[in-house]
Parts: sequence; C-alpha cells; structure tokens
Amino acid sequence: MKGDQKRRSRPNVRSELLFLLAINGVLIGNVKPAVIFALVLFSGLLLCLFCRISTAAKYVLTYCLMFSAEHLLMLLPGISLFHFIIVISSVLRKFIPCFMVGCLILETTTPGNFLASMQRLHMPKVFSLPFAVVLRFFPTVKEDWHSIRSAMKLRGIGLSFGNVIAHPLRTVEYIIVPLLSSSIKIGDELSAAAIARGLGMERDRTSVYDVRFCIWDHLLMLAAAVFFVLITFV
Amino acid sequence: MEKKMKLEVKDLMTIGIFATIYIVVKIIVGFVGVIPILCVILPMITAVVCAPIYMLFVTKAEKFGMITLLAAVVGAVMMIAGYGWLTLVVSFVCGLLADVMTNIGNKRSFGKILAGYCIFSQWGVAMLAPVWMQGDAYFKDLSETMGKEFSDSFRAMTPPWVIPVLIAGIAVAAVIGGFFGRKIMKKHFERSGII
Repeated sequence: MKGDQKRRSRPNVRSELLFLLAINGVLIGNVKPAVIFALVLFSGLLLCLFCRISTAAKYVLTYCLMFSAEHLLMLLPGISLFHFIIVISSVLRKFIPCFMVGCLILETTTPGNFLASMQRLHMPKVFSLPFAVVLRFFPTVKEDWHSIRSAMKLRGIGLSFGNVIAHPLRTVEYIIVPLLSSSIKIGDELSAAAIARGLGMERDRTSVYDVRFCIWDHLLMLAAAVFFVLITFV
Repeated sequence: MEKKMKLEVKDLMTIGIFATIYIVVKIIVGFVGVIPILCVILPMITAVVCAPIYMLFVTKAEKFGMITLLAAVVGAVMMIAGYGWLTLVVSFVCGLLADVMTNIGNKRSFGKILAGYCIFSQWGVAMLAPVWMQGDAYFKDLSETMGKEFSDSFRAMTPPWVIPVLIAGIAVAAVIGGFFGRKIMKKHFERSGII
C-alpha cells in the first residue's frame, strides 16, 4: 500500500481483474492438468510477490493434496460415492487459480485505489461505490463475527456441532441479529464520512493514487494472454 | 409517499454494507459445504440463513434498482472469489427480476417481498452449475481411461433433473427463510426502532 504512493511496485487492480476474467472464462472447458498446474504455480508466484508467501503455500499445497487424493481414489475399486467425490474434487481443483487471484485482489486492493481505478475505466459509480464499501467493510464484519462467536462461547451457546444441529434457527438468530444491528450503526457513520469526502459529487474525483499502467501490468496482461491461449488451444 | 428514483450515496453505502454482511454470512455457511454431499444443499441453507439480512435490506431499500445492485455486487464478489462469470450473470438477472417483483404495483406487501426473495435466492444455482457443466466435459475425457463403469455411476449421481429440483428446493427454503426473517424483524428490529 505504501508503494502506491511512491513508486509502483505492484500491478493495478484493473489488470488483475482482466487476468482473472481471462482464466476464469475458459476454465469451464476441458483443460490439460499440466496447464492448470502451471497456472497454479504462476498464481502462487503472484501471491508470493504481492501478498503473503504463507497464503501461496497454502493454496499450492491444497492443490497438490487434492490432485494426489483423486489419483489414489481412482486406484481403489469403483464405488459410486468415490466417483462423485473425484468429480467434485476435480472441478473444484480447477478453480483454485481463480481463488488465488481473487484472494490477491480482495486482500491487497484498498477502497481508494479501487475507486480511482474504476473511475479511469468509466465504471458508473452505482457499481463501483458499493463494491468499494465491501472492500472497506469486509474486515470489520469479520472482526464482529469473531467477537460474537467468543461472546456466544462465554454464555455456553458456542457454535458446537451439537448446538447447531439441535437449534439451527436459534443459532442463526444469535449470530445475525448482533451482526446486523452493529453494522447498521457503522453504516450510517460510513455514509457520513463518504459524503464528507466528496463521494456524492457529480464530477470526477482526484486521487493521490497512481493508477497508470506500469511494467507489472504489461507483464500480467501478457501472462493472461499466454494462459488464455494455452487453456483454449492446448 | 412519493418515491425518489435517483440513488444517492447513502443508498449505495447501504447496498455495500448489506452485501458485505450477506457475503460474510454466506462464507460462514459455506464451511458446512466442506462435506461433499452437503454442498449440494448449500444454496438452500443460505436461503434460510440469509433471509433476515435480505428482509432488513428490503425495508431500507425503498428505491427501484437497489435489490438489483445488491445481487450484482454479491455476484461480482463471488466471481472475483473464483466462482466463474456465470455467477455474476445469473445473480444480476435474479436480482433484476426480484426487484421488479418487489416493486410491482403501488404498495409493497409481504407476499411480493417473499416472491422476490424466492427469485433472488436462485442465484445459488449458478454456483453449482459448473459441477454439472464441467462434469460432462470431464466425463467425456474419463470414459476413455476409466471405462464405462465409471461413466454410468457418474451419470446416476448427476441426473439432469437435479437442476429443476434444486430450483424448487431453493424456493421452498426461501419461503421458510422469509417467514423466519419476518419473525426476527418483528422480534428485534421493529421493537428496538432500528427500522
């Protein structure tokens, strides 16, 4: 985030989104395992460079585990439940690169940078503003959820398997009601802050973020093109 | 009451906030889907659990377009989180239809909101659809290597009628969720004056 103000050391959210769309659209079809593995490694590299190494390692390990588990299950005699698990796992496995790039976008994009980038794309504010709120608000709600959970545990109505099965609707009520009432209050404050920052203006805002394309963006777009061709034609 | 049509910053903020809560709760529910068989009924569980959020949102969203935008933002986040572009398209269409359903006529009623929620919840189908669409492609590839036995058992597991059954199941779950949501609204939010 510091790099956004000084020299740019990471790609802009627009090229990350383009990369995601390029691989996302074609993964539905039949893809060679080697290509997917290359994609996983490349996304892992992106996560290492611009996010956290531990996150990258987690995803790459998950992929390898699923891949080997599938092939072990295939060796076993054909029980239809195994076949079902193999198919589900092979479909989910394909989407792991998307999860990785998505994680990169959601964890490293700041709301201000996102709004500035979307303004450059001439994206209408009715779409970009709610999305920026999601980026800004997500960690807050996650934090709320953890405190609600510990408060519930303190009163002996923790989220144990037995409790959820015995009183499903009551458990939901205990989680949702505090989550909603605290969020609504924060929401009012957020919109006051947004108006103070001039988000209600009709004209374009200026921004301190440098959202011009840099060398990383060109590299990422090249990679997107390469993978698009690889997935579609190999 | 005269309806203002133009969306203001405050409305967009409301959409963002409710979308966030919806997504977080959806992720929490998603942990149930780790068990392979349960992931099929995940959209139904989501429809019940997220109903209070939607109900509260609808009372705050008095303008046309807000439900559409909520669905679009949720769909976009799900797409970025890796669920495929189909999710965004389907959720946008579901949101638009739900919006029309809720705002049709002069006055909203619980029935209209409930019908709208049934449509809104259908976007969950899009998240499971790739399993079937891809399953076919995968199955073609595998029938050569794994033989006919595999293909038969896979076909038995994923008959084509699963999708309509899923849609009906989500609708039923959404109705249950709608009544549950209304109960919670009356019990907590109307009494404390949050609405």
